[in-house]
Amino acid sequence: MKSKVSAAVSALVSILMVFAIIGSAGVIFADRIYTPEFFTEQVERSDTYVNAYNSLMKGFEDNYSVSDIPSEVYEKAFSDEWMRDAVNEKIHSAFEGREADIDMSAAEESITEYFEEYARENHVMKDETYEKKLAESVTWTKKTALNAADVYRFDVMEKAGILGKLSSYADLARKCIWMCIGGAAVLLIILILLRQPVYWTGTALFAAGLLMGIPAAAVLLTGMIQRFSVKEYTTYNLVTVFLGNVTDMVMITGVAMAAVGAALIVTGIVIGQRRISDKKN
Amino acid sequence: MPFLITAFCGGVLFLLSLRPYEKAQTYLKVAFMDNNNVIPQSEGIAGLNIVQTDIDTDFAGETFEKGEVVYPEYGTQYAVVECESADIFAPVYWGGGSELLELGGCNTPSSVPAGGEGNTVISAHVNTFFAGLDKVKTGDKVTVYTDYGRFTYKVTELISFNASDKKYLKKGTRDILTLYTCERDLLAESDKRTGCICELEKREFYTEAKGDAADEE
Repeated sequence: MKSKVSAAVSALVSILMVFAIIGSAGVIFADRIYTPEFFTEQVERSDTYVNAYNSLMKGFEDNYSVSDIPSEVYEKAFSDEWMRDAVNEKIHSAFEGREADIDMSAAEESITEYFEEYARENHVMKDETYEKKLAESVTWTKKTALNAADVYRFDVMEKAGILGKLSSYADLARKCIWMCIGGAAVLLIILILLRQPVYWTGTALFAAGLLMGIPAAAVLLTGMIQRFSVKEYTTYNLVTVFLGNVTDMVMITGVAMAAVGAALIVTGIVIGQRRISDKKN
Repeated sequence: MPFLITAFCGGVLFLLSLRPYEKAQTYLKVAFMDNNNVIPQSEGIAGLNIVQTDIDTDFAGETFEKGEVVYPEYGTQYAVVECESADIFAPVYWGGGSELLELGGCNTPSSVPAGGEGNTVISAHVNTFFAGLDKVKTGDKVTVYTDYGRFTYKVTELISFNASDKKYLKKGTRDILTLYTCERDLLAESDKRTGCICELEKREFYTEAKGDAADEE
């Protein structure tokens, strides 16, 4: 009778431990993922710096028929290095909750120089129309370049209120890390007191591992991430790489936990069998 | 026991996630709704199938006044537009966007193909295919060659309008051709468009309309 009660209590503690383990893994992932370092790492992995720069230059080329400003003017102002710095600054400023401080002086200088050369060659007076057109061109260029550097579309997310929500969820997750880990530790202590820690901890790890690994594997196998609707090359590439890496992390962690859990279950059974045979002897 | 506990916890998690899933469902469907799994290979719009066609501009066979206008697939080059007086000779694609404008003129899908009933609207870049459009004068001849016929127009009006003004781009009831491009000048308004309206003078279809062929028989 006593052993049946003990087994029932152990099973219950093990169930609670499954949720504690999944919760701990979730908050640890949230803490690791929602950082500027992780976001920057994904940008590097997906060649987004190069893609964003190429996309920006193509945009300027396509606009030539409207603006009459050749792409060479923009090539003087923007470079791969500029794009790298701008993208990184945009990411850091989004996390720090401040305006991005991106240097656009070279663009303004290059466009002004082109306008002045045009005015000199065509004997155009620098009147109100000239100043207005120059200001419009500089403003449009700055807006286009800053938009290209915002590879994660933080501005859009901020306007939609999503960035604020994500930040508050991430802060909440960080506050709960020690609570979840502490909860799992308390449950482990209870299992130790019930004298069956190995088998039931293994069961909890195994269940938590399967519940994390199977859905992640399903997302990867069904190709759900590749069905991302925005087919603009730079954004599509970045988002699919980002989501793919996050899903991989969850799946690998799940599989590892399930494997460790299975090993502990077997170990627990072996220890149990030995205890029974020792008692008989 | 491990599988039993897994199943129990899985069931609880499933029930707990129903409500959040219902809230997120709409956004997830919109964000991941491409069922064709189109993967963009480079800059531009993924899934755009550009087809270049060899259009015969020297057709010497029998032609007919009535025939069938063939609506092309989006992204297909279906015509060539020519205006000798303005030195214009450009392929015409059915569709729009930067990728197609790099390759030739674009016939807006909201208008009609050349030879059809209504307004055929073709635009192109001012620095490439329509560089000579500003040389066009009233009375000039414009010809559009397609796989299904050859259509001759005469320039009747020179136009200038704002990019937001759609009145020259509507299908309408008159059988006309509207050609337009950007007004390129460093100090000009970037949303100014210039072009011309051409009245349809002659339709020459390469195959007779099916109804007329049956009547003759």
